[in-house]
Amino acid sequence: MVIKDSSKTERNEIVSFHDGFVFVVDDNPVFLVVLEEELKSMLPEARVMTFRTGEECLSNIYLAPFLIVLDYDLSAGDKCGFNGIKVLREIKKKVPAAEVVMLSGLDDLKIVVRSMQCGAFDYVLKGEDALGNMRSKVGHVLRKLRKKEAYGGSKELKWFFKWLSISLLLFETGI
Amino acid sequence: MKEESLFNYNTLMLYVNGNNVLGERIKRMIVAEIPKDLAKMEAALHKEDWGFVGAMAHKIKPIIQMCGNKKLYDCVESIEKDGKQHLALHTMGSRLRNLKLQIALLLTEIEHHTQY
Repeated sequence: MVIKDSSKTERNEIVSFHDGFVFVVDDNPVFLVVLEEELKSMLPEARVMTFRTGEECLSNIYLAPFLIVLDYDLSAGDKCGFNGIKVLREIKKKVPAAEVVMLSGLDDLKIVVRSMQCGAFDYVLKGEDALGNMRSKVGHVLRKLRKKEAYGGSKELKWFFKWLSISLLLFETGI
Repeated sequence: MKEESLFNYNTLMLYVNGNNVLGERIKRMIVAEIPKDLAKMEAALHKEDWGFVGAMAHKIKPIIQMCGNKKLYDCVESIEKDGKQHLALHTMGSRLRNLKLQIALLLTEIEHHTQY
């Protein structure tokens, strides 16, 4: 699915993870639906979008999703196009703050390491417990984002107290 | 003696978190999508594009896993591995024919399956 939006602007910055975009990329339409439904139930306020190829995902990356669930092997749907790692690299170039959870049917440590080296947040193996694992990884992503948000808030408080202490000092010294 | 079932609805239910509506939707999708992928696999076999045979096997593998059929899953996985690594290519044609037959039976079972 490619959004044709005339008001398309380069955003590339995550505004909020509460009602932001979540992308799911998988060349397997059946698995794509399962993942979409799962993420919709986990993140009811987020806008979940699905793509069957890496190219479709990248052409919509300006929407700056805060979370992307990306299939490692997109070779069946994207024969001459992008594989998961290539898409991951492009995502990280364009939206570095986006958290990417890689998904694969291949139980291979090399793939896990390669995904992490390219900036993936985590890796989920497609299997009976894939949804359970994904739920847990998405939970980790959300906790990380909440921490980031909370840290942003405390930074502002820090500045406020700094300003307050300077004001008090100036008041005490009579300036 | 009752024949062994090819489709395990309980396994599918694990994937969809017990959501019956989604389970039914997935069943319809499986019946619609797998024949398309098998046709692509066959076309790739005729072109001796082994990498793509392997890639298509990789694509249908999680669907077969969702159906809870271990034997068929192992068969798809071996086609995937051998296709990607260009191994045992002389057996690929017969394995694919067997896979097609087994999947046809599986899809018939899914089509006739009711959750009650």
